[in-house]
Amino acid sequence: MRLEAHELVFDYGRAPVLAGVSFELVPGRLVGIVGPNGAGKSTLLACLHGALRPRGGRVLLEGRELARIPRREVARAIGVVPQRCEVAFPVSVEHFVGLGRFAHERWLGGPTQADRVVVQACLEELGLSALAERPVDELSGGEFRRVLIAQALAQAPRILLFDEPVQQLDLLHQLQVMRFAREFSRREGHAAAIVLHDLALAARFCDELVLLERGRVVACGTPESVLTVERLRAVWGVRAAIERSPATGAIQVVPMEPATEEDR
Amino acid sequence: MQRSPIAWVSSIGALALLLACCARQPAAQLAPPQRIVALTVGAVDTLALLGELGRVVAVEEDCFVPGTELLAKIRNDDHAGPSKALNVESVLALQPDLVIAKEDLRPALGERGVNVLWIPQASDLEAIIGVVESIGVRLCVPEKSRALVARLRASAAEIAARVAGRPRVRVYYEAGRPGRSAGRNTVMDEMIRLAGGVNIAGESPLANPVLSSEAIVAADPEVIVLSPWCEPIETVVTRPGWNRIAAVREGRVHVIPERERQVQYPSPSCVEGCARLLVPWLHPEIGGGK
Amino acid sequence: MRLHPASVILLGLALCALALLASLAVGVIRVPLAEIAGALGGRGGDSMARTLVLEMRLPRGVGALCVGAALGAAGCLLQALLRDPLASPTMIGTAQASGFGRVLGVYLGFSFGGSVLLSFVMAAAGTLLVLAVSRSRRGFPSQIVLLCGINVGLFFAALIGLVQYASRDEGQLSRMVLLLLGGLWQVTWEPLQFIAPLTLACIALGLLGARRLDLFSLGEESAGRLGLATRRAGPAILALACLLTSLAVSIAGVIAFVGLIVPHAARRIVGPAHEKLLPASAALGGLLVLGVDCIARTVVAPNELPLGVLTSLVGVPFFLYLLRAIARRGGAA
Repeated sequence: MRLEAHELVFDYGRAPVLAGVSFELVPGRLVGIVGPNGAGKSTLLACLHGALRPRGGRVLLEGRELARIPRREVARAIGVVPQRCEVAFPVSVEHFVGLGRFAHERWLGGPTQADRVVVQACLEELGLSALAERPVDELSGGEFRRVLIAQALAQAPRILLFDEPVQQLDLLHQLQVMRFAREFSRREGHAAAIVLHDLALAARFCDELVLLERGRVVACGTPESVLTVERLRAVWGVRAAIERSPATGAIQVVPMEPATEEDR
Repeated sequence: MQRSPIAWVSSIGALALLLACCARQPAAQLAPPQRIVALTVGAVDTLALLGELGRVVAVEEDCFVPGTELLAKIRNDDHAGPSKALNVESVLALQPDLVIAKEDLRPALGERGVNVLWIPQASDLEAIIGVVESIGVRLCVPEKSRALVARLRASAAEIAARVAGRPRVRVYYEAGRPGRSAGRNTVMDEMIRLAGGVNIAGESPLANPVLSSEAIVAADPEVIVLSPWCEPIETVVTRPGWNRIAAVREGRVHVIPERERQVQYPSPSCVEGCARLLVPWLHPEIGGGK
Repeated sequence: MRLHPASVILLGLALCALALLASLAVGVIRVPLAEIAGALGGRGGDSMARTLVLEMRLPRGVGALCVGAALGAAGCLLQALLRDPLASPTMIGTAQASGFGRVLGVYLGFSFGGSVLLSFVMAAAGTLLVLAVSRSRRGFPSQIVLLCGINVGLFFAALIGLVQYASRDEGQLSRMVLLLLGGLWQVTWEPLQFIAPLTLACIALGLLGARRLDLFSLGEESAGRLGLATRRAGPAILALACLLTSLAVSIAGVIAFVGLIVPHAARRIVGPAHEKLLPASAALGGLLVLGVDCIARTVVAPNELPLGVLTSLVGVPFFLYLLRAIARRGGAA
């Protein structure tokens, strides 16, 4: 399943957030979207699954314009793991994950036995079976993140989009989420994109990085090609060293000090 | 210069006469008022019956008394509810030398430099008579008010005589809103009793109790009296379950005409209304009243 | 409590039926149970029991159930749609708009049927106004809808005040106040013939869309990403809630607090999933209004207390308790 964005333009009133972003997500890849604060990463993600309508440009899903596809059909193809989810009235984990099946249910009706089976499988895959009856407002940060993933997974999508999923998670859960994302993208015909601040995780797990700065794509390619010392200085304003980890083989960014005016 | 003794005596005599006339009035007012604003229904009615409407410049808005059509009308919250508050300025603009008002207007009218005759809410005939007397005194026409009081007492006695000995008739009175009736200590209750009836809401200490539909059906009134602002008769008699009520079965449901509505209010004309309307309704065999 | 949705519906219906039968035995006049049974069975001829049971208490009980069910369901719909535990049917402007229609009908001297029609027209106008003002290309903005509803409600409340001020006589004013205080004094079979089936139909419709309510509870963005077209579903659910509210107001006037507290109580019993919560709210609302109405017509017999006053007296302590619970949990629930 291909997801493409062409020349996306978006602004909140006056301030432009995306100024012509083109992006392609092909099956089998885990793409990391990185960049400093305010670069437009979350906005790009929102446009990619149709939560926001871009002022200019188009998003194509399998060649069809996203805006013309009914929401239900989009939800069957694209799953989103959001940064936050405010639950007004706490429901059980099982019920919450089950809501991901909405896109597959009949128009006027509820979940079927088949839907319940899928939900159980998702809970198991994310290690949540023991928590199935727990109300979602009694979960820890890591547990709730997994529940959000399980819910997106219940949509049985081909594409998963993650919006800063590893913030406020401890090391173990960060690792779990990233490994899950990579494994998902390796499945037949599946792809995933993930918005990240943590460059080490991005470099280690993503096949490809897209670097956004002030609403434009300034670099796109393998982590090694995107994360260079000059880029770190120019885009993040930081003087850093790039090292290769002997344990994982992935590059690591070690920030040293803020870059001065002459450096930039 | 020397004043003649006759001049002295006549001045003192005139002064004494004036003082004697308004002796009971502790207020600074010595002359009988000529610009009266009457803000209660009872007061306007009393003034009309005393023949003193000529001294009135403004009356309460909903008053029914004939002869007051051309006078200025003041809205007041006598019975209408919070949306109709007294417009104090319009009262003061008329420069009255006497305002007659109920006690509950004291916050609005008291301490404004205006002469006010405060009258209590009259809940029975004796209280109405008390109001007539105090108005008579204040206007310096005590003989007229005494005569009116005597007429009222005589009318009441005559009604009582005519209905004496007859079995009491159960009456349900509805005051505009479904279920709302008049309780003990209201004028309407006393008029019903005077006319030889028993008010089915008469046990209630409330002035305006709301009866449940079932209670009315249970009480089975023989006569139903509706105020002019109730629902139309057809609606009232077709209320669920009301076809069992004696008054409905025998067609003894009466509406007080709007021009005769004074029977409901604490005004002297209520007695006349009782004689003209209530007595024939409750005791059709007696026939029309005086 | 682990209950199947179907059993919630059946249990709710059964409890309402039982309560209705029980309410037939309650009242100023004592009627032996045997006579009640006889009247219901068609026997009893022209007796007082038959009149009382079939013409007075039964329509009143059915009316109470309809009003309570409509308000409970409307409250449930709105709390899900607007994601607000404090949302209620009196906060979307419909109750006040319906009230204005009825009061205007009294002022213009319309019959009961004419007033009811006018109240529906006004309710529709109020709803359309809220929808039109809060219309957005991007979906269903709950906060704006709530604020619009409150303001439209205030506007119609002001219009009510104006009509009261202009009322021609004390009788009219009295009847207007009676309407607004809320009560079932005047319920007959006639309006129930179309209000009862309509109420049931609306609740059934809401039940069919129960999943959408679950999604709305997660927030508009989440509902959208899970596949719900909020731009269409939102206004539809709001319109359903408004219709239910105006059905209730047209029989019984403005009754506060039922739509607010019943969904919360129901949530504690059956949980937050709307396929159970909606029928539970409807049933609980019906039972509440029926119970309070029985109290209203017996506790100060032969007098009768206004229903809206009683529900407020019952509702305020519960509401304060709810607010305390929210505060103790630390802010927004």
